[in-house]
Amino acid sequence: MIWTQYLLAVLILAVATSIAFLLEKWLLPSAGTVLILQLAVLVTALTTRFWPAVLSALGGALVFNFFFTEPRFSFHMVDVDEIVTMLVFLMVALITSQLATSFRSQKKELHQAELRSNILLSLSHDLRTPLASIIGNLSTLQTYQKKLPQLEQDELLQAALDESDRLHHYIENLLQATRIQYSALQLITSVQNVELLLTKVIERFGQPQRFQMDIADSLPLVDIQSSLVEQAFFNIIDNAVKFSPAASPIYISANYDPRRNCVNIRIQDQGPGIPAHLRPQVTQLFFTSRQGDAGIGGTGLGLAVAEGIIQAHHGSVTVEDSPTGCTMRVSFPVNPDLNQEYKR
Amino acid sequence: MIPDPNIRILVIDDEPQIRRFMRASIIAEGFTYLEAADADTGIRLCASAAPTLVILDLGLPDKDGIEVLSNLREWSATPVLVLTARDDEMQKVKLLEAGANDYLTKPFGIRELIARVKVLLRDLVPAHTESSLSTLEFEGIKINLQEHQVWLNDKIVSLSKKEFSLLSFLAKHAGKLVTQKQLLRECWGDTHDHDTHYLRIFISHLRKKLGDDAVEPSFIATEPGVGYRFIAAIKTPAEHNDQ
Repeated sequence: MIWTQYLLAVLILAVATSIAFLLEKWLLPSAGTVLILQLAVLVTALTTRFWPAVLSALGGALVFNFFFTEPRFSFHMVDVDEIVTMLVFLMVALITSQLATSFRSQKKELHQAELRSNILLSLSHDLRTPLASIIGNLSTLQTYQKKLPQLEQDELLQAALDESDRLHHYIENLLQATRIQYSALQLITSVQNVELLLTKVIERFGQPQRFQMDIADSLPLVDIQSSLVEQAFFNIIDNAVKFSPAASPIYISANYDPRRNCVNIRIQDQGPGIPAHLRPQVTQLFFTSRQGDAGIGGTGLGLAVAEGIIQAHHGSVTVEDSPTGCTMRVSFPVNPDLNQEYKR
Repeated sequence: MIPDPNIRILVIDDEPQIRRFMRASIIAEGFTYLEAADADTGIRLCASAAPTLVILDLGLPDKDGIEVLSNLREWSATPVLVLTARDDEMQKVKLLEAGANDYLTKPFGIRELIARVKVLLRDLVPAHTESSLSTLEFEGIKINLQEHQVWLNDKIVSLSKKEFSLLSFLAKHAGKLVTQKQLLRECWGDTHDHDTHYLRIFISHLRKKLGDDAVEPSFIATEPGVGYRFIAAIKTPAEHNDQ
């Protein structure tokens, strides 16, 4: 809000004026009042933007003229020294505003450069780690095949395959994220049953005993592109699997919300949950709990892609309050033409 | 190198997929394999199991790799080969200064890793590298350290004093990464630490005389921003007899 910044500028100047006025009564020489007003301009320039700072500079000059020069309480000036003082004040104040503004913009640029380099670091880590496994496993197999027992050979081959899948999935997400960024996601939708779609996604994790499904009867159909929405659910459920203790249950429920006329799908895990202040950020592209190439965390792609896909279907992804772990809610609007019984 | 279970190699890496193939190949080489998935366990194992060599991944969940390295270097001289997922020269220089003996950038093939490991292990046997030998023999090149003479495929090559000192220092550390700083100190003295342009000029002269290609070297390979590595294969006496 720009007007609050102008208000802040006026406030800071008012405070500085009162301080200068009081101090001058007791001890301060007139040069001191100029410095206090200058300080007000500097504080304004550092906390707000350029124009509020200019306002503060002009205001400061007028305040000096009105309150602190003879004749007092008038804009009339007679003393040449004081006129010069006011002009110098104005010049210094304007230069200060300019410097503070460029200081702040450089700080912002620096921050963005840091962000970019972190993203590159995380990209490089996420591409290199599975590649390192694939190359390492296959070259080991090639070099030591004769010395390795059959079981070990099979394990190496399986690991290389698993990592290829991981890499494939990662690249798939990266491509999708790029399409979403450039709004180039093209939807070819068809009518789908949510329960079937969720079942299909869960099968891909290969540990059916972990998932506890609670799907409401006669759920309305949704109009979506199943391959994309599958990817979105895969990412959300993959997150739940990754950030909760091994073998802990993951609850998946789906029901119809008549008030908002939408289908809600909730995925709840038994992990540490997401602190409230981070919730708005979790679906941001490249947001991750990992630091650089160290520590536990994801690629910062999964949830961003999931949200992008679901929003393209006019749906939404929300982190809900939940007694334990983390609950993600995905909502899809219900198209009344497809579901006569849900027509309002 | 003969299989030797007394050689214990400790791998500190948090990725189980990476540990899996390193374990397979280290055991296949006949060494003893030890592993740790985080820095704290790794440091504890370094103290309790006294490994012969440590392979340390930099992207550990609990501690920064440089921190682990400096901690280790306070009380141990065990060779450390660092694995990094970053292709960052500054970081590599920092690692080497913190006491890493060599590094490998992910992804890498297992032969490369095992070759580096063997070079570091060979260095532990002092007789081989430090100049009890007066002549160093490699595939295609022979260096007489006492008479300052170099034969390229049995033909004498004349080198300047500086060129010879560069070549012999690199060859004495064959297979090992030699940093720019090490070379400058050895051949120009302590005051020329940062004069890397000298080094570039002399190395390019040396390469020209040896008929070596900087892009596809057979003798001196460049590690960009970090240093050089003498890569010609050592001619062992046994191989000599076979021919």
